[in-house]
Amino acid sequence: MRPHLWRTALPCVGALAMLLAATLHAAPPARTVKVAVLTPGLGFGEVLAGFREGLGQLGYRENVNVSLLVEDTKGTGSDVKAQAQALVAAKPDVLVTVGTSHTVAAKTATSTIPIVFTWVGDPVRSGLVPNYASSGSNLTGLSVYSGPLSGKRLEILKEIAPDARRVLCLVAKESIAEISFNVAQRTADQLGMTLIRRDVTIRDDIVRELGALPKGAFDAIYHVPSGLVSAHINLLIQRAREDKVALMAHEDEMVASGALISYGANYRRMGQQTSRIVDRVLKGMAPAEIPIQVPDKLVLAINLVTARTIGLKPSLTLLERAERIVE
Amino acid sequence: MLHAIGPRLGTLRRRLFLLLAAASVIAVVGVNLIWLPGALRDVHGARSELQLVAVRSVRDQIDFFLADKEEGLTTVAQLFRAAVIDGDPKGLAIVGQRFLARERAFEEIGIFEPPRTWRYRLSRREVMTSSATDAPPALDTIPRGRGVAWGAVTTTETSEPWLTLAAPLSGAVEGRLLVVGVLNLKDLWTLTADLRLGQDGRAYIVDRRGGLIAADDANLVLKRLSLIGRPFVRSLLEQDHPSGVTGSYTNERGVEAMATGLRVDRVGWGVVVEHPRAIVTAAVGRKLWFFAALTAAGVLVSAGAAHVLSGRLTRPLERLRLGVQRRRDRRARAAVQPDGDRARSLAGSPRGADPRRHARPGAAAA
Repeated sequence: MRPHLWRTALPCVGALAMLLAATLHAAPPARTVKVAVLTPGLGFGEVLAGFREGLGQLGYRENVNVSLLVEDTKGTGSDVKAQAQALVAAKPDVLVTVGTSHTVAAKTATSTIPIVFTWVGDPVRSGLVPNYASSGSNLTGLSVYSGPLSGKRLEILKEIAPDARRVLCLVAKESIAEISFNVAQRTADQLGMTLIRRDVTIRDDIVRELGALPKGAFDAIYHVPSGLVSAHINLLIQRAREDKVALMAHEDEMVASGALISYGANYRRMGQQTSRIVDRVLKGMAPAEIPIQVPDKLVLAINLVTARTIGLKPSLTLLERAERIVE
Repeated sequence: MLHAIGPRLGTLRRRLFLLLAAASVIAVVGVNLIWLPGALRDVHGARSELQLVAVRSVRDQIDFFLADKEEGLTTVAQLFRAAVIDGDPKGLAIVGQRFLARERAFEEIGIFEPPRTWRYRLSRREVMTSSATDAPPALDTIPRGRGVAWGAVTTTETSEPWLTLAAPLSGAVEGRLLVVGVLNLKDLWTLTADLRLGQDGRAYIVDRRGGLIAADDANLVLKRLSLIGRPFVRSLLEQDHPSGVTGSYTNERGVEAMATGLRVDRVGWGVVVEHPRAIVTAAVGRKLWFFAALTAAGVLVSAGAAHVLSGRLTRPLERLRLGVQRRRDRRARAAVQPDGDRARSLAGSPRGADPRRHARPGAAAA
């Protein structure tokens, strides 16, 4: 009887041990992990929402096994270095950064705490990482690919608003804005368009520059990606609506808010994708071991209400290609 | 003679026990040794068979994916033909844009006139400027007839594997034009990542140069791993083995693995399914434990049987020994018990002996 009992019990014990090991491997850490987030906030709120959603799907419960320390710079870039240092002083397990300038500030503040960046336009040309395969440092994350896509966006703007020749570009003092503008400028030359460049560093600059340009000074607005202008995209949407001109954005939530058209990644999806990278880091993977990722999907979105308001009729092929149509 | 039987009988029984036990043990071990090698071969065979079934399934799914893309390209080639013949650039743009909207795995579509001229080109991510249009497609050969040519896999800046394929645009400009598509192989990552092989098994795909293009963990692909240094992968890519290639190696995670691979003939890639060697070793271990347990049980039963048999076989001799013993004892008792008259006569003689036997020869004569 006894040997028989053992023969039955041993595989059961083994199976239970394997199940336990598998559960422990898959589950988030038992202790409460500290995740710090440095975000420009405002328009980027959806990234954080997606990030929280993603963590929840991975089994993290806020204030149970994960505590989030969110530092929202509310669209300003002046104190970002100090805010990054404050977050580093809190010694988080991972520091999540949204946008290029916030990532640069975090990189300067620490070389030991893992940094997972998201919504960074071009991490290679911004000098954050040497290549997409490995950062070789404490950085990893998601590139929004907005730099290389800048030319394509301008081409799509030309497709939806063929008469647009003078295009207003508000360029923030951020590396990604400079990279994107240069790409757009090359494309504009080929498409026969003129880019009207205005440099901005704070919100007031955006207000001032938009106010300084009279109605009819431009035929369209092209949103050059940057943390500053993205955070205050509503100012551009408002001006485009007033002037009845096309506004090309780079995220579909901006289209839902009133921009005419956008082509690029989605904030919420990017946040979710970021949470998966953070999960890997929290499970002990070194950031240098995790290659830089790009968005799962690029979304073309068109706001037909705005199109009607400004008197544009998107072509059939453009509508066929659109992933999201706001009516 | 009979006196010696007693001690020797014990030795005989022991010898008989040992003889029977040894014979039984040899028989038990011998019988087990007959099934054991076959069972161990079965373990390895079953593993190979399961891996081959899995790898065939993955290979077929990849082939289906590629066949689907090939069909998509040949279909769009037909649609392009009318616009090319009419010299209608708007028509070309409509067909190209609709194609990219429908075929999500394609990153680019274009019409190329060898050796260097692009007639039309559309990309999902880039604006096709004059400098970009100068670059010829990444093809090894120019397709002839109605066939589709597959190029080598190239890795983009973002580490994604892309593949170029081309089909002739038949009936237009003496058949010299090619419709060229660029396929993003990211879709294959879902296939290898979602595959559930059990027992920690996984599948991966290498291109014809040994570069990893899909694996259970997309990070490995993004790291741009090349597996051409693995002899197993080299052997798989060098020639086609219809029944698959099997082998073992230490994988990039440092795990000893046993693998089965097949080639995807259409593109010359290799598909591999691997399992940790420890899984197979554990199965062999279980067989060996079973063998040991069975043998131990056999030895115990044999020892018991030998004990009983040796006892039974030596029982007649034991009885004989006991009979002899009893008879000897009886005789001994009879020799030391005199009757009453004899006892009395013995009592009269001081030495208990016949006086005549003790008289000196000279005294009798006097």
